[in-house]
Amino acid sequence: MEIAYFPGCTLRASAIGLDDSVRDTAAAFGFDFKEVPDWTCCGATFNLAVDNIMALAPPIRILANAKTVGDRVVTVCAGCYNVLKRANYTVRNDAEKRKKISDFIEMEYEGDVEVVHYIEFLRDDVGFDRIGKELKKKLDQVKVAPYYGCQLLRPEEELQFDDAEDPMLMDDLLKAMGCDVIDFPHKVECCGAFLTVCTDLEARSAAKDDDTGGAVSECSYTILDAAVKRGADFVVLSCPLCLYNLDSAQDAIEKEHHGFKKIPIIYFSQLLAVALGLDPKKYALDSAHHYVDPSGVVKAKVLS
Amino acid sequence: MAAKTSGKAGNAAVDESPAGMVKIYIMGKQYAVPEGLTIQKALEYAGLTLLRGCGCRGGFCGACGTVYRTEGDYKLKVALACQTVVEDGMYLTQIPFYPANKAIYDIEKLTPSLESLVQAYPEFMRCVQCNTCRKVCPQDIEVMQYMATAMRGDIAKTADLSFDCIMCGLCASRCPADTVQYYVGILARRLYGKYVAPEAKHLADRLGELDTGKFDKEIDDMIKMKQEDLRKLYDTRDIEPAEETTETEAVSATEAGTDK
Ligand code: FES
Repeated sequence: MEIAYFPGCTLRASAIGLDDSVRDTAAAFGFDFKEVPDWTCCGATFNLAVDNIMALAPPIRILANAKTVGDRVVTVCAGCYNVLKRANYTVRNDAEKRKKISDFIEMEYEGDVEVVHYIEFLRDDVGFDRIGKELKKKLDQVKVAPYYGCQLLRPEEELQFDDAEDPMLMDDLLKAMGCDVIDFPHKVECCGAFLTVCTDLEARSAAKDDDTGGAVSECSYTILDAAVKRGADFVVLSCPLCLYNLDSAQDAIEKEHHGFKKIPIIYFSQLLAVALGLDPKKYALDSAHHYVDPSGVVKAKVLS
Repeated sequence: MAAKTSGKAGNAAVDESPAGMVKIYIMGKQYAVPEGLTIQKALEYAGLTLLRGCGCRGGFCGACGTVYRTEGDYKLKVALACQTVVEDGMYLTQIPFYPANKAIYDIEKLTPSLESLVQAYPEFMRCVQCNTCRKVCPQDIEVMQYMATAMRGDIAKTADLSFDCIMCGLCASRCPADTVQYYVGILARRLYGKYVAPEAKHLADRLGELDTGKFDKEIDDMIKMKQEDLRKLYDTRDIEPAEETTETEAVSATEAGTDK
């Protein structure tokens, strides 16, 4: 049976390096992902109003379309994963909503597609052992801070990705890749990204004066500084919104906190692609796609 | 509605449709019209003069958008009046024009990007992907799909998916988010045509030939030709040769010609 893949809008725009690295690494392990036909935006955030049925229509339609490909859909953006998985949970547990939405989208869907995060796929279908064996680059000089954020983990009952307080799945993957994974107490702390989208970058450089009173930069600072102080070369994650926020916040942080050292933020799959010996130029590990250019560290620590 | 009824055809209300006739409702009023007519012809049979809401009569201009429902079915359906044959029990309404928001922009100053779409139609990002537009498109275009590709800035895909749009505006008429799908689509196609599509070399070559007057003499000669010589020339042209036609086809073709 084929495996459906849902990239999501961000992966076709700003997070192109995430999309390409996922597709190529999956292909390198011999898996052929098939894009969900006619996919749309999943909604980006799971709507918290219990009676907002309309917001459930797109993710459930996506799942119904995924079913035409196979019984599993792989996705990697933490936001998409959160929305699809929670929409699936709703379909499985709320017969009334399921019926209403099925009638509206004119498609039958019973919740029988499994939503799988790409890290889960790497664990269950590829196998962490195998990944370790197939790497072309040694990563033992690469010190990484795995950052999970909120959307991959919460609400725990619905997502069941990992322990929401002390997740280890990305740590395990990075260890299997041979990285030096730091013990990172801030791995599940919120980075404030949802406030980022309503704050403009200019305002943020005068951190205290922006509409959030500098809250976003402070959240990000706490996380990044902890990673830097533990000697990490990269913060590694799977969420484009966290990446944008943690990456773009660093100018503002530098102004507020003298002596702050910038740290590049990359996706786990970019690191995996490079370690598998795929062409590093293909995965947007550069200044055009990052505020803090990761290319120098990639070259020094991964490619050397 | 921009049409007036002259009331000349005999259209007394009927309960049972006489043989060969179907019963339709135009803006709530019942008429009996011969079966087999298009909705457009039926409106005219019923005595309406179509001042607006009728253009090409050939399914291309999008002027004749129609919303209808058939008796016993709750579903609202749409059609192009010039392309759809009347059915018994149709309740019809014409939507010749829809007052959707239409932006003024200078294509020369835009880039083929999401920003250009958002600048012209900020409201289009309100799309909640309910798919209602898809359900009402008389051209069966994947409207919601091209809104999805537009929202991720894929101009080429949006242009491609919306290509068959004839700008009837029915999508916008049913949009719960007040977005203007058809205008977003045509903007994407314009951006695609201007900035993304590769330039056609043969077109530039031909325009060059026109500029140098390569065909001037040929045209001048043709202008002076007698009609039957011109027809002969046309029939023996070497591209798209005239199809073999049977006699009846030829007759109806002529009739269609005089009809216009
Ligand atoms: S009159 Fe032009 S499409 Fe019907």
